[in-house]
Amino acid sequence: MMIPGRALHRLAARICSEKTLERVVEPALADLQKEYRGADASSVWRRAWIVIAGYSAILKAMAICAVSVSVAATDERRALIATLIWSCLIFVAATVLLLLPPLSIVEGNVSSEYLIQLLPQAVPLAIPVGVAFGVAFGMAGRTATRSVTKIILLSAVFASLVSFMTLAWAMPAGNQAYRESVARAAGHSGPLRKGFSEMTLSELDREAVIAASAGDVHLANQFAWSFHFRFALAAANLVLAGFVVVVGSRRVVLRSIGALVLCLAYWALIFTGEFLSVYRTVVPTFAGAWLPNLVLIATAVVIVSSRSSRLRASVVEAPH
Amino acid sequence: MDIPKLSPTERLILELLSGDEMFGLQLVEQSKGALKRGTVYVTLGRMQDKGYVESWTEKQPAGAIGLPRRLYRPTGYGLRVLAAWEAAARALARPLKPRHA
Repeated sequence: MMIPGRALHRLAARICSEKTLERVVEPALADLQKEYRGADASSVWRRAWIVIAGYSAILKAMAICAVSVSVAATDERRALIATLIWSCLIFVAATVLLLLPPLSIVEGNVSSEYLIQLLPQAVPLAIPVGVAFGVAFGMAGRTATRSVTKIILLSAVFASLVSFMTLAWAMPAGNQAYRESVARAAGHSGPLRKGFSEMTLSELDREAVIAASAGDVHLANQFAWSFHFRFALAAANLVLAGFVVVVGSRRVVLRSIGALVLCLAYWALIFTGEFLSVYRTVVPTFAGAWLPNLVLIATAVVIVSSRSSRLRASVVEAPH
Repeated sequence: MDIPKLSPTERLILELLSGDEMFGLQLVEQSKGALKRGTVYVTLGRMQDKGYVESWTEKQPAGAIGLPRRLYRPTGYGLRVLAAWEAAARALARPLKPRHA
């Protein structure tokens, strides 16, 4: 009989302390397994629900333990709280700034309907900006310890998931609803043809195949680049957070300038990647969409390895 | 001397356990929604650290599949802390008598 929880147990054994594993994870897994065995084998939905409820409870417990156990020091807690507050503030500011241009073209009063429809297109761009500046300001003057880095990166993974869900489902639906609302207000009726940003991932994939089979390489590349870019932009949260934590200076001014340069560089690299893969076709669309992330990861690796080699050299040269 | 702290959740767990030893999931079910699956073992672990409860794994028959469940019961110290808090709550709930009656 297949029993759920073995993979989660192996994962927990790797990442959790022995105490957390024994007292929190294993009892919760045992409950899940007991419930699963007790459920009627023919009821697939009941068993699926038991697995989902059990897994989410265990993951929640593991997250609580990760935060409460690993962030014991007051300074670490302060750094994380500051990072969270700064990230939220800058996220809200960036969202408002990104909403202003499309709202400014709306004639008459701006209704809450427009705001709700436009929010999903601003959120995936505002989250990475909030993450980059939030980490830069929150960690200013502080050293990123291992546990703080771990929690920031876990939070960035969560931000990436939110971004991805918005980019995959909420943004296409919101954009199309906004265009239709504006068209209706202007007296146009009937369905509007979807653009790249209004298509879902499956629609982009399908259109890329259709355009390629029709021999329109340029259009096929545009669809393919948009498809891959949704994944790449979602992953930007993790890449930017990792870059700022690993590479960032302790000085607040340097960190702030660094975050600004980082966001501008990322923005420039998005267009470079699109230009190289869609218009010049010198790199595959996948590589073009992921270019900003790849460049930042490579840069971080170079900076960190040059720092550690300088450190090694200084240790060797130090007088005894 | 520091007075031992007892949160409302810890108090509820001690109250539930004072009747009989239980598994974590049983505590969640008996609490009628007051305890959550995601936090009950974190709280029980903390209570074990404080010395309020003790736990052991159930004995499984040979060839049993899956992990053994963990049983919990209050310690003598845990029951004394609960009794002290209940007494304090009763004392505070009594109406005040005027000083100069």
